[in-house]
Amino acid sequence: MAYKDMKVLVVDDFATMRRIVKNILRELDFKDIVEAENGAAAVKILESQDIDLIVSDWNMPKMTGLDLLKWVRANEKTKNLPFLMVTAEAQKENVVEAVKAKVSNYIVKPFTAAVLAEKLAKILPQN
Amino acid sequence: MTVELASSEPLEVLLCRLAAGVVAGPDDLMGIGECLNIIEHIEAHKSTPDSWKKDLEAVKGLFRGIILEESADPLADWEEIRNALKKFSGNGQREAPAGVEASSPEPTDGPQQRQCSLEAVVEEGEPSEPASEDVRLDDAELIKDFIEEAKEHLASIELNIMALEADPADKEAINAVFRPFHSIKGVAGFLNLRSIHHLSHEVENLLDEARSGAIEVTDAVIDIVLRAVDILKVLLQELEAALGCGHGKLSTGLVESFLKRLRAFDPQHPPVGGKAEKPPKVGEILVQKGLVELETVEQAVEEAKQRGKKVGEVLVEEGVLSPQDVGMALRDQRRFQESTASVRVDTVKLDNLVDMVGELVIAQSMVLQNPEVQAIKDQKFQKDSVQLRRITAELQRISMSLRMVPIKSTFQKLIRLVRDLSKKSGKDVRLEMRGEDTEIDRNMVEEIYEPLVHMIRNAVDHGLESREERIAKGKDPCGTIFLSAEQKGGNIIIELRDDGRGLDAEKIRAKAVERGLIGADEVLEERALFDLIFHPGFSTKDEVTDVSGRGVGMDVVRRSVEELRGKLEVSSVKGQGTRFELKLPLTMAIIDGMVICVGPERYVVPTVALRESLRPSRESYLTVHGSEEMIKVRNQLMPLIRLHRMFGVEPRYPDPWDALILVVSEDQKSYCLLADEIVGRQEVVIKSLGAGLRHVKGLSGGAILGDGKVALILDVKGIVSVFEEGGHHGYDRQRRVA
Repeated sequence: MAYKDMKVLVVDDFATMRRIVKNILRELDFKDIVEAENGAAAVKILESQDIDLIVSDWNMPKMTGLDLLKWVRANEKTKNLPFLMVTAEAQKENVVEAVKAKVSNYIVKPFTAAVLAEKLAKILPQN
Repeated sequence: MTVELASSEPLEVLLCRLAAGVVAGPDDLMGIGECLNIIEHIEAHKSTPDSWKKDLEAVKGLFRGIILEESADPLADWEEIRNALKKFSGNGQREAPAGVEASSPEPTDGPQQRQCSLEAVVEEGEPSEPASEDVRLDDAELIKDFIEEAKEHLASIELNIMALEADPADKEAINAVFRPFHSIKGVAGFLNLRSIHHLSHEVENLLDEARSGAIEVTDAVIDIVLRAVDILKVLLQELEAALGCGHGKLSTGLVESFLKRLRAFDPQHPPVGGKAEKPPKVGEILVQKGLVELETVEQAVEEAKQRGKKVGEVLVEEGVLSPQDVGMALRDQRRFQESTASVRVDTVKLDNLVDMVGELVIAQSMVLQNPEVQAIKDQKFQKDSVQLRRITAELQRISMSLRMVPIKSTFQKLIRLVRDLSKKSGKDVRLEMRGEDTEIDRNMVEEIYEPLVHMIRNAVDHGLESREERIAKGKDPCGTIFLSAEQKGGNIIIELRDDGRGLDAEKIRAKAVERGLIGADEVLEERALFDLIFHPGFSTKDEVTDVSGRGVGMDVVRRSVEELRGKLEVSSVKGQGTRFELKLPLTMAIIDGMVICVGPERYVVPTVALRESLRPSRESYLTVHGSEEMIKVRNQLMPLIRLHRMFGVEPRYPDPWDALILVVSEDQKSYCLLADEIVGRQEVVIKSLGAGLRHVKGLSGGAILGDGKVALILDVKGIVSVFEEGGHHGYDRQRRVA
């Protein structure tokens, strides 16, 4: 599937960060982007809409990125979804935890469109 | 690390799964994740030989290197992993049974434990060069959004750090302080705001150590965090200013010196093994709610520790409580950081709404009081109009409540202030608060902050004694400032009390005489003496201190309270403390007033200023020196202020014994306002006067009455001062000119 046909879910509790991630995704030609401000809101969207890719922050109140990832992987509808974790350097233990919980890949803030493209190439099935 | 292991599978099966897992290559993080999970299962398996442990550890290390992209040669490491794993499967069983596929992994430990288990916090890790050159961003707008959002986050830090100070072991509170720094750092990284990024990064690291239990949250740590918040605020302000003119400089010097301090920072307590755990608050909440016995909670705490679970979980598992109960308690616990769903509305819109509702109420009474309408005898109409009244009244109530906000935010800012003042003055000060949920008009909430700040400064600086002095007097070495808010009738009463040395009546008197405020042999009641502290320029403390500075005195405080149509009173007991009482109207939009008639005009006198109203007898009317008119009320002589003269209208009853007088008090003195009649007590919506009338002394606004006519709202203070200044007859001049 081409990027422009994919529906991406961006999860971050910081609105500015969501905008930044969205801008970068748009640079890569993603058109259909939905947002959630925490894991719980993301779950609602995942339950009601067909999402093709999740880009999620890790440190969020209420339901963290890890909680969301676990939910995604435990859920029949979403268990195979590509899940990209957005994290900060210095949060390496989180990355290891995320990998154990079957994150598709992770990306370190701040990142450029090029780095994101590289990560996506690793986790998205090529057309 | 505690991992829940369901190692019911034979070791051989696990080994086969492990061998089958390592196929996709170093890019396949999901595959690696699966392998790591299996390795942990193997490690915990009862039939795993001890000799494997080291090798398994090594494999895990290699995986870790690959995951974190720290490996110098991932492919070589990958080969090494494969070889190592071959060794295990060789030792175990030769053939991998076909069809054993990776099943969905057991969930590993939860986020809470993850935080506790951050054993080695990764090195400072000089942030990698922010690669933002080729990021195309709509910068100005993004930065604007960032500033807004960052400010909110900083406010939340200040709020949460107080919770942390109360309970330094509260993981949730540490997290709540950590998270905003983390978010700010993240965005700053993208926006290439290096100093902000750097600063928040370093503080984040510090908090991360606190989170992992490597350091304890001491006062020193909290100081550093608060200092960082202050610097970030400055940087954000500079950034905002820079946005305006397109370029600007951020004070990196500020950041540098702060970071220097931070690096030199040595938390005075040695690392603790994360054992300093207090009983979790959830348990306390549950006990408080009467849902469980204290003993049950204590047992659960023990069990939770042993089983590496949360107390709530244990209580639910044992059937002591329903998950809902625990959920409620957790929600209570987090009430600080969570807010109910809300919409932000421009305050101008809100004010307009309140205004229009006010108009609606008036329009309604104009319609319903119209004689033609009142003549309608139709039952249905009567019923409907009652219904209409009910709805508009409810609408008015709701729209008024929209303007009300809890006083909490103001009080909370004061916690910080007291803390800072206590540090600065070297006195131990405790701030006790009550009634933070009391609601107050949002326009007022900001206005009362400054007066409160000033009074608290005074209390710390002048009121409370030094530690030694307190000990010598046999008082609690730690001084207490008590702050409370409550709603009483149509007013908010804010009380500020300290347990310091109290006001010294003799000193005040001496000062007042010295300043010429009172005569040397003037006899004044204690109350009146205390009231002198509100006199402009009055200060009994000779030296200027860092805490209360010079600048404004209590007169400014009283004036700003009066501008809010409030009253400020002081009482004090020597040696025991001072008490200020701030009485404010509930809202600035409506006042409770007495509508009076003077000639053809009607005026509204705020009831807050009113003491009583009466019709004087002819005998109680006296003129002093043949000109100054006085009324004697219960043996007290009060000057008579003829409102009709002041406003240039023809009264119906020029003689006080035919008319009515309203007794008002101002500056400890009582005055009588002469009016023709009292129409009634009523709540009126305050309208501001047009430019021409706004600065007229004696008037504070206008109100539209039920019949649609306008009445002026009197400002008693202004009237009294016009009366005092303008002599006894000529005070209507000013009015005419205006």
